[in-house]
Amino acid sequence: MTKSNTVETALQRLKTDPDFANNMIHHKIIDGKEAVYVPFPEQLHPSIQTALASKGIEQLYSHQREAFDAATEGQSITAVTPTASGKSLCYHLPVLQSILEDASSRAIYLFPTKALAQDQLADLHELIEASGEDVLSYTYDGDTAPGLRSKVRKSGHIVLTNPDMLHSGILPHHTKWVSLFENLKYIVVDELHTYKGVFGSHVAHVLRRLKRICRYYGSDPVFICTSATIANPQELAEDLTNTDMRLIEKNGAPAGKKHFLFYNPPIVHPTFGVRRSAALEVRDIASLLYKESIQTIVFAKSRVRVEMLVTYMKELTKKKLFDDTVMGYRGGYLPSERRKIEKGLRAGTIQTVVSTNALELGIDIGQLQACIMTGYPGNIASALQQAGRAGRRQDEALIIYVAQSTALDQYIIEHPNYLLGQKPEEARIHPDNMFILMDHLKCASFELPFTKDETYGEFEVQALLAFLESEGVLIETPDKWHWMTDQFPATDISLRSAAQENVVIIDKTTPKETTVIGEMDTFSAPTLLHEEAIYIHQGTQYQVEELDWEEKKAYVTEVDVDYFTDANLAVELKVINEDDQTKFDTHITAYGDMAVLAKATVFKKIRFGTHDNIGSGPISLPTVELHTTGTWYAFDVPKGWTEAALTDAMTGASYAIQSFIPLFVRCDRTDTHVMPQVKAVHTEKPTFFIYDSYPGGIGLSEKIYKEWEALIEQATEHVDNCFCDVGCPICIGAQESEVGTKDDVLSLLRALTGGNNHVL
Amino acid sequence: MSYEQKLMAMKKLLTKKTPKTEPKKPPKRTIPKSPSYEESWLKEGLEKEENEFGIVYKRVVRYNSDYFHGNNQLGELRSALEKWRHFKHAHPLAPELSNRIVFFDTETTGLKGAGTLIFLFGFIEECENGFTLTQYVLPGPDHEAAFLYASNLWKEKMTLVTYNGKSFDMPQVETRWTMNRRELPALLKHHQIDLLHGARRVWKTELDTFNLTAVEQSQLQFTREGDIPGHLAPIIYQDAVKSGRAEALMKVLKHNEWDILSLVTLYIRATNLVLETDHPETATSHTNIGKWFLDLKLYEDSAPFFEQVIQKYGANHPLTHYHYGFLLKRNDAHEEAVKSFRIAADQLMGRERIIALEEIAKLYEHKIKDLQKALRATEEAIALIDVDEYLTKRFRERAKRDFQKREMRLQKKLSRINGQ
Repeated sequence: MTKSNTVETALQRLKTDPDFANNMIHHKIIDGKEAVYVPFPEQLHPSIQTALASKGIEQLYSHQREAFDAATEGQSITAVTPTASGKSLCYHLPVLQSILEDASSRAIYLFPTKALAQDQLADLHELIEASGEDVLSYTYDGDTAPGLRSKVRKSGHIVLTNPDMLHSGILPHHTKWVSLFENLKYIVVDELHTYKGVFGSHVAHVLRRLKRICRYYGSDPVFICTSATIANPQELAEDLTNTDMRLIEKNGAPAGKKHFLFYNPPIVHPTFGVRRSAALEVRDIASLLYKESIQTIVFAKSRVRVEMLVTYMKELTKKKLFDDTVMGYRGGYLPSERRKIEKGLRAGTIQTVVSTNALELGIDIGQLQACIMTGYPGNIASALQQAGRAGRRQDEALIIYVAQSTALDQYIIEHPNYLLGQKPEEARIHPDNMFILMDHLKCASFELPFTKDETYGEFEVQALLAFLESEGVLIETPDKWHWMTDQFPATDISLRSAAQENVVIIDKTTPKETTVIGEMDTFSAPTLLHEEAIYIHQGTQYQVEELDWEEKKAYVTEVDVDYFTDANLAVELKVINEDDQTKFDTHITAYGDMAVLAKATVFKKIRFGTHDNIGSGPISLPTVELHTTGTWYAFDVPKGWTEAALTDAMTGASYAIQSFIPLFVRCDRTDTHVMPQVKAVHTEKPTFFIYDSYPGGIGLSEKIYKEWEALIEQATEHVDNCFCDVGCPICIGAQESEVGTKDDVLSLLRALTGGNNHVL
Repeated sequence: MSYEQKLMAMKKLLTKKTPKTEPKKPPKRTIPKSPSYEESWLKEGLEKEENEFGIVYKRVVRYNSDYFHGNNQLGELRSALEKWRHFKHAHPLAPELSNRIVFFDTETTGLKGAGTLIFLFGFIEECENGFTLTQYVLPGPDHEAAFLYASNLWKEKMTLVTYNGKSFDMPQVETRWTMNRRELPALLKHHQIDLLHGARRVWKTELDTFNLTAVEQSQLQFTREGDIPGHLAPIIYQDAVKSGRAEALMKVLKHNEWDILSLVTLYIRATNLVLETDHPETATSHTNIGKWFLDLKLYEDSAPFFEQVIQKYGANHPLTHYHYGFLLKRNDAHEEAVKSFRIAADQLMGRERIIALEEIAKLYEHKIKDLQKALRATEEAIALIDVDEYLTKRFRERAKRDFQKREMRLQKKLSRINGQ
């Protein structure tokens, strides 16, 4: 029996077994495609040809060849490379070619995380070894041994690193990297799609600084970016690198037929809309596939979930001694453990792996036969990447999406074509954010004084440099702006946040081994890190013991409790400046700068599962101020509404709107906030505000500004379709009493969208 | 207005060029003009020096050879160098006598990175009638090329005596040179003697801190009066450039002068300690020096330091016995080595105690061939590993594993003998 038969058999089992069949809401099929091969380029160095041959590669996929041809001509490229399409050859080939043609050539490979760089080094080493050539490649990060560092700087042909290290460990010390910067031919940006939002905006500046340093040393490197499928790879790459890109979209890798199953757990409590736990359903489906000998990857959302599912699944193997056919895979495992699992997956000795989205990124585990998603990972691009883990070449693949009880998850069950039928989201960055720009302007000034006529990236910065001079950061001489304080700016600037200052989270569970486990921006900290808050870090619960606001330190200890905490935030909004406005018959939308004054007031302890309120306490922390960008939607009070009824309805509507923002802009649910005001000071009307959660804004609300109507329509449709009676966490949020809020929300939303329809 | 508010207001000032065009070449360099505050700085006692790259400010001080800095006269340097002339081995403190010997220290605007400038070079060197201090001051951030050029570090190879120069001053000089490499002749590789390393070797466990001021007080009997704390130097320089006033800057120059004078007498003192066993010193520093020679594989130079301590203190300084044991072992004096290690094992705690026992076990097992005694030392160590709280976790685990292996091997060997 061949493997594809097995997928077929398993599919039949699932579709006929009454335990599963009734919950299978949709079955969609995506047809496969043949590989498009092209011969090696003529000039491809014989040693590289040998190396490829030793891996059984006698010809290239068309996109690999296209990448090689463009890059060697000096054209920066962005290649869209789905999982398992041989993306690393898109950059290895031109890079190795340049080094074999001229041993002084250098390249930087940039990966979003340290772990990924270390993974890719193994892959690269293998290729170099097979070529028999003397090409030196190293990772350079916090783990690099001090003794090795100077060798990496002076003689590493290929340096694999991450943006944080480039930002604080390489660029500020560029004088120690002269041979790299003088001879830099290629900058490889792998996993381009991960550079979005605040992090992406920071990295955009790190790359502008990198280009500035290269120019100083006389090099003009070519960028090679690879990206998962997103809506705007070229735009993202050009924004990120400030370089014109050629897009390589046609992928020559083969793909098998894919079966997408959309599975909704059965309803166990109709009134409150409670469905059976998605995790239990996943366990049952995965067990079935295990028994059918289908190699399967299960994606779970947290580390805890992974461990839970692995424990369940191991039940299947407990009678066999030393059986490792079911494994977990998540951050926090030792590198050697991870290597072992990756090898087991490639070799087929591991049959089921349960993973967090750690495996979304490009770690090579070969291809599996089936993929089970526990819930929607938040955006289409991630979902497609997870799905891409299943499907061996021409073989059929099975992808099962198991919905959770959240608004987005349920929406996708209703609209499978949302996931399959359209392009994934745009990934956006916003290098114009003043806070981020100023931070990196300081770093750039530290690295190399700006001249009086110099620009920075696409920005005219002379006025900003003068501002830094007036703040005492720079010193002006006739030709230049000089850095002259004893500060080292890069250490104060974290790429993973836009806030000026972060609260450091310190785990003091073991008194002698206190460790920093994370950071949080000062705007979010009062609601998430107040004393007695339960802070969940990668699946582990911690209780905040002390929040030292002056020193910006939160001390936490590990706990195991059955509740979470939720803080109330008293928010005051001020519109500082209105940048743009659109008038409609019944409403006005606008966009501009806002100040958000927020004060955490009280917190509640809420039990998991039942959502009972089991305790509360006050929070005494100062008001925090966020200057950001926002958009708002103001409308006239619909006829017959009291202010009180409108307040409740707007609150419910905001809940629904908030859930759907990730459908319109690629971001996490917490990247924006929705705030209803029944009589806003600025508009003097009922108004919904949406603002970016980061200082200076990161361009999200600007995008939403143009999509208010669609957003509200989407929310309306969803609330309308929700099968609950009185409102539930899936639509307008859990309601405390049955007073018909859901009907009010719906009639308000209908009035808003209806108003739009009656423009004629 | 808060910084945040100012930045939001600045948004209107931000303009963009046509996308994706960036300037091509850095502008051509011209010789920068003297700063506006030149006169005010020169009034404080600086001289102006010109070279082909522009201007630099300078301060020169001369000392006679009988000038006392602490307990030593500068002129004693000559006899110290004479001692090195007779010492034929390589040693971290040994100068390259064919070079000029220059005592060197810098002051900088920060601690690391390409944005940190050096604003003061200080050199002391013996000259015809004594010693000369030459300090170069950076006139402003745009005068770096002339300032670096004046240092003569490009001109001829020197022996540079510094305090932490290997990890701080010289890497800074290299960074600044790289930033100005288009204009300047290449920086030479100089022979370096880093007295911080020397001080650490000689006074390990005797001093709590190795900052130069602390070493001065305890070892050179020199106390500074009216000194500015070194960490203020960056702010003072920055202020001098911004305000044009150099009074406080002159205190930084004085601070730097004291630093370098201390380098001279510290070098004299360290040389005397290392090259003369008969200098009255503490048992600890003598043991440290012996250990230093031992690590340098200069065994013959090492022995007298240990022997002298042992002669004077007997078994009362067990750490000396610990190191001496290794020397004895190397010289195949196995029984004596065991004796020394025994003294160490009985009186020391922590890591050294365990290693001494390991050495005893090794000597008994492989050299003296007394397996019973080897086993006994091994068991003694195993018992101690669990209770000795001075051990790190890592050391504890590794040592335990090693000793357990040894125990098993010894037992096997013993049972084989008994079985025969």
